Amino acid sequence: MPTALVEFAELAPLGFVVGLYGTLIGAGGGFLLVPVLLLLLPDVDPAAVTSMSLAVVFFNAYSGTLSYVRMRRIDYFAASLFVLAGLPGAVLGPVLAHQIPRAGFEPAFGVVLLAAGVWLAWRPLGGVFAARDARPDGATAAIQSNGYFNTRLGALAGAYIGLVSSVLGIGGGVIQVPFLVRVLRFPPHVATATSQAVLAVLALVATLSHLALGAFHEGVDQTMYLAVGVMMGAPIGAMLSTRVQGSMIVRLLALALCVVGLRLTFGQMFGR
Amino acid sequence: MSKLIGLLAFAMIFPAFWGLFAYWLALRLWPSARRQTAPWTISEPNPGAEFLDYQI
Repeated sequence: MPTALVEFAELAPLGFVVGLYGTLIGAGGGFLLVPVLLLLLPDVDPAAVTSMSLAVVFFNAYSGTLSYVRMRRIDYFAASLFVLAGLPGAVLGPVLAHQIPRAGFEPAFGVVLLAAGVWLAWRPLGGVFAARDARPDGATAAIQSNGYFNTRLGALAGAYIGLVSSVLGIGGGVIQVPFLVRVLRFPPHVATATSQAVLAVLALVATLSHLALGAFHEGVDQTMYLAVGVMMGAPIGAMLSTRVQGSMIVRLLALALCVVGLRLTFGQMFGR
Repeated sequence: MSKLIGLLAFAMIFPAFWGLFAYWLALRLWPSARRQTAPWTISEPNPGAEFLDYQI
């Protein structure tokens, strides 16, 4: 069987799962993709794997965003604000990543993410949108968020999240969505959709930067195979999100946070 | 070592300035957007809202 066909048969289903899960939780899926690709493609340079992952994150976020646009779940003002705030971090992050000693930074941040994941799994909504659980008739809770959020805090955090994510080599959705839900009080379904829109722009900028810098020098074929999968999985993830309660979305996100946390904490022991 | 401290200081301080700039710019570019209703306050029924644990 031709090698290209074998690779397609391996990577397209992987992309499908990444697209479905990533779009459901509002992340790009790089947190899943990078470790799996490092295992599946041992001959590809790890830096190129990061470039591939970012490109796939873009295709995933683009496809997910189109679905969420149709579902009218995106807060466009918030998305524009987070894109503006996150842009310089996305560009400066790779530069800083080479200077900051990752051996100390990554495990420390990994422990923080792991703790955040456990905390979110334990109390996914923190009582904000949990009124339905408290009502014996199970009726839909009244709106507890009035659509306003602390814009200044959002902009400040967006700038830091953009930088930290970029230094860590992840899209940032796994950090952004918990922040939107637990700090800015976004409903989880709006947070995931808004995060996808932000990721679509930031991942595109990052991918173009990698292309311009020549970092994306191999793995273009494999990226396209993955892109086919994610672009099929993302709309299904968006559709599934209407059937899944906000608390479950945050728990699935907590799982993703734990995966990232574990990889950062112990990744260096196993050569990432 | 001093270069590393400088970089860390930059990484700590720069996002704060940039975040405030983004906040200022966003409000200048879309002055009315802040007062517009966010997606979860639209009054018309949202398809699929019955599956959610809050009203969108």
